[in-house]
Amino acid sequence: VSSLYLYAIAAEPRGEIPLEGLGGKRVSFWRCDDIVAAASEVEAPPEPTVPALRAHHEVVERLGSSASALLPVRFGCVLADAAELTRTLRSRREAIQRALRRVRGCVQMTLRIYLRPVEGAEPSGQGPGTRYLCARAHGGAALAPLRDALCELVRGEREEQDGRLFSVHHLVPRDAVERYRAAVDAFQGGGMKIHTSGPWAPYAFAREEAW
Amino acid sequence: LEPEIIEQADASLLEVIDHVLAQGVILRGELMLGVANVDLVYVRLSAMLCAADRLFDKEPPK
Repeated sequence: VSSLYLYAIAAEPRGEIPLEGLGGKRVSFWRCDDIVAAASEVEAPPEPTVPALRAHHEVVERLGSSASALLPVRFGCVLADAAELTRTLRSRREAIQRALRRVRGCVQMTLRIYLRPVEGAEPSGQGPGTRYLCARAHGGAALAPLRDALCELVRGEREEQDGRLFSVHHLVPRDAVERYRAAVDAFQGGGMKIHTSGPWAPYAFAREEAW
Repeated sequence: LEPEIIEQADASLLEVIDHVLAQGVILRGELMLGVANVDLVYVRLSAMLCAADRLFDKEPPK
């Protein structure tokens, strides 16, 4: 018995495009009121291999190019059947619609920012908690001018920190991507180095806690 | 999984892994627990650190 593997939830895609999903299975579209879910049949939950991750991502990218608003689903979401899919979508419809409204017309740009250590800014003799707080405070201050420069171009922000590496995800209107890149480039050098990637489907703005 | 991912890693693949595995809508928490286990969290952190190393080693890809 096959189950349904879910790729993304969209707001009324313009036409259901032919797509090949995991295992070469055709992607089907399941409508629930004004929400459309893209899924394909799978025999078992897929293993998270590089080819499978790429296949999932490829489907999300293709869907993103045809939908005005798209919420990518995290890898590995398998539902028993169409009835369960419909039930799940219906029970969260309002939250999904809110999230779709938020990302409409936007893409995600991701900045990986590595802050060079500043002499004396990180007390070496302190515990991990103190070092974390110092790094966080240092990062917040260092990133403030960049945030100011981008605020006009950005509709949403999610930030994660791992030591001195900051990941900043921005929700940016499609037509502002080039201006966004130019604004970020102006900040290269100095005390930080920035790796910019995107445009991506708005993965970081589809997380449930963001609803 | 881990060695395969790290050995094949390039900047864009690391980004794809991070986005596809660690972010996005979660509709079925109990199934995600089976996929996003400790190994995968480790891979994600490795991927991010690896990305950080690259930032200092060479210019980011255009």
